[in-house]
Amino acid sequence: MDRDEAREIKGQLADFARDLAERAGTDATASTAGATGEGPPPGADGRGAAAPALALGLAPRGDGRYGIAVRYRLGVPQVRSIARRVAAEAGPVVDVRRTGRIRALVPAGGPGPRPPVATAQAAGETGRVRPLRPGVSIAHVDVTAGTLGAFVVVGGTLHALSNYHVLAGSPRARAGDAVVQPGPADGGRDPADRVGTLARTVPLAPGRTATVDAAIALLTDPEVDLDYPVGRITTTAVAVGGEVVGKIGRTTAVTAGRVTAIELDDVLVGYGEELGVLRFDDQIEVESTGTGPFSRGGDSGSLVYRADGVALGLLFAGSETGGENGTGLTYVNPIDTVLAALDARLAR
Amino acid sequence: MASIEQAREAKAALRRALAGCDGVTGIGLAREAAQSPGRSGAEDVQAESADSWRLQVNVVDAAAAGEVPHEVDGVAVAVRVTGHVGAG
Repeated sequence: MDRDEAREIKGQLADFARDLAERAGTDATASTAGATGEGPPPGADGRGAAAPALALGLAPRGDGRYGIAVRYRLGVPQVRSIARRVAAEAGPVVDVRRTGRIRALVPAGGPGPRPPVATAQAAGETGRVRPLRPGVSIAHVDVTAGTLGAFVVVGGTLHALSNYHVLAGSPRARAGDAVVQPGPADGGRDPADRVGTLARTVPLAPGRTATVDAAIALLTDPEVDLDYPVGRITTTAVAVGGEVVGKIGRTTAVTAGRVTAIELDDVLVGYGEELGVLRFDDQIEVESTGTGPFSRGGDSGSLVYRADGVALGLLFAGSETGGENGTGLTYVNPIDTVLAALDARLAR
Repeated sequence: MASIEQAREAKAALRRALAGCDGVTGIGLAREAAQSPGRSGAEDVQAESADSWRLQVNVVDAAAAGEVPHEVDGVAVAVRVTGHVGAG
């Protein structure tokens, strides 16, 4: 087969394998292979994004032709059965091999998070600020530091919005935990710098596809400064691609960028040892339009807004490289999804 | 020229085709016009139907780009090397 033909057959076999997995009651959603997952443990290392027990690919034949590669994990009888049926369906073009558990050549826990840039090297606000305002350093008392993205109203009460990995940081975090400003990595301490308590999260869990990384903290003092560099932001919109955007964050302060992709699925994001690598769907991508990056570690939680002061998203991750200036790409949760998940609206 | 509806359908097919490919870190939609200087407001929404869309596949490194097709159902595919993505 030529490569295009092999790709098409691989796709058909992936659907076939998925059907078999569903009928067998295995967890097809855990698959990254177009085939079936074994169920837990989901990660390549037991913690990260779904690691399939069966994977399909193209097998070069050395003469410019291709077969179908079927790889399945040893010690999983149900998957072995599915692999055999897939191989029978594919016929003589198939190359079937058993594997052990496959581990990525990355640190334990998968590619990790971006740690906050050291306080002394941050261009944004890492000091103690009262009244609170968007863009300042903030975090759960057991987390390093992130950014206070916005003030939101939930149930008639003012809260601070940021990421789950900033305001909670761990599945062990509980409502009522202290949130400090600045974040602990910038010298914030409890109770001296406590500004509120963790109120609500959208939980993240290994092996589960997510759409937002978000949490809110109930503020002790409702007297806050609501304004951004573009003025007050009270409305939201769905990103449509190509917009000029900005943000104010703890590490890189005010930066400008452009939306380069929307509806981005299968975004694999490293969260470190406890959560591993998580998969996100329906994300927004932003690249810098300046000479530096649009964001760096510690900017997590920043609100991303259009130049006309309309919110588009909540910044939560970044890549090592990429973008027109090579300084990396930034990933953003759609703001309407964030607010809906927390039953919140932007404060006016 | 691909509409956003065509691009969405092609994206679904591309996700199936790339399922299991190591090193793919994201599959999404990008405006062909997005590489020109950006725009700033609601006029983007009005311009959307006139725009052409392509698919975008992000990969960890150039080696991971090998299995990405150049086109899916008439919709162009662009590959971007991003390295790993981390929260933060």
